[in-house]
Amino acid sequence: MSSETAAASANGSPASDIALSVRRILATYLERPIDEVRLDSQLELDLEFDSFAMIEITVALETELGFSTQDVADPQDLNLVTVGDLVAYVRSRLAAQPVEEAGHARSHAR
Amino acid sequence: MLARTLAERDALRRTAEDQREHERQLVAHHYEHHPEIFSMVLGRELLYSTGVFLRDDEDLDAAQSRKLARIAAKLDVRAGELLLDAGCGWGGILLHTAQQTGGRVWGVTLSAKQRDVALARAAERGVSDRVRIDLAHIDDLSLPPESVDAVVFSGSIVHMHNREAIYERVATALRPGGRLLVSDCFFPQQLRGNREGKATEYIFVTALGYCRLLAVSEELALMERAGLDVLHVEDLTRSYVLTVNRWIDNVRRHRDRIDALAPGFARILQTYMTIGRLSFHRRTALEYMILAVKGRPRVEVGAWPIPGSAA
Repeated sequence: MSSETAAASANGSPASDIALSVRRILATYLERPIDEVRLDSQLELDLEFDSFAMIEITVALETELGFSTQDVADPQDLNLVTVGDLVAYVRSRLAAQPVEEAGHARSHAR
Repeated sequence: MLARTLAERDALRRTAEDQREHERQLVAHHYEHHPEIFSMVLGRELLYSTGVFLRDDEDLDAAQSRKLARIAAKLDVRAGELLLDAGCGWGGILLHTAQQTGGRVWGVTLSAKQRDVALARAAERGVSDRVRIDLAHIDDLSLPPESVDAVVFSGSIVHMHNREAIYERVATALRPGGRLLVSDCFFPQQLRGNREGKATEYIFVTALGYCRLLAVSEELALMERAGLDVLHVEDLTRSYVLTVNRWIDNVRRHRDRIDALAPGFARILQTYMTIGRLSFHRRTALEYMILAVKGRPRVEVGAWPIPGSAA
């Protein structure tokens, strides 16, 4: 099973929805229109993410999407350069989630 | 001493009285959240400071029970003696002391909810007659000379800006042979990490109201200047990383219930704890337990077991 399929089955939403949810959560956090948060936007260069923003956003992603992440203080810790990388990371975490835990996933990403 | 953080710089502009009122209002706010939240996050003992882990895979309650036993050994309260816990939280140390020693315990907290919970737990354990808890700032207390046998600050001294005056009052209030125990967070003396950034501000102000971290050498110097002798210092930084890890996992596990009781609070807890966890992991912040004594110590610290010492 590819990580994409696993993620989709884990939280019951298609993988493309995860990308949209991540972009929406980032846009809300940054107070920017979602069009400015593209999959190829660079977290540090384009969106000016610092270590504190990275902690806040990973907590927000966990809260909204219902998964557990490791502490991410620095995008370089996980080789995350773009929003797309972050989406892939979220998918992999959702896929790794035990099924009963994923049941807590919240579909109402704001 | 120079201010290290924005919060500390603001405090330096206030009079001692204004700072006391600032602490009374802002520090209490965090602890006034529903006690059920803290019982879900902090574990059975309701201790809001580091446990003592011997192994990475131990559970939180085991580490906190060990911490209580270690604090009890260091405070060495005996029947009839009086312990003052300044910043007593939900009463964990007080109740353990009252139950195990026959001593009298006196707690102080800025949070009415903490006081209510601590008194209810005292009643459950049948020790109410030896437990007194005041809703007060430590500056409000009348502390007659040589009236207290032991004083503990566990995870609370960082909320008190005017430490110099506090240690002087504590030193005066202790009887000869009296003990002072402080278990808390410190900055390394060397500048490591950014102390003026948003992350520090988030913990020190947004999440916890007011915090002031000194270097451990400065904290010890204040105790010494007040006339106390430092007896024992141990680093618990690694244990604190493990403790905070478990708190964060508990926030995750109970996120929905926490949010139902206090919307948005789970996110504040997880964010500030994550910053803290990373800081202690990188040792840009450190955790120590300090024991000091007034005059001649009753215990021989040299006899305490240290791994590797001859039997």
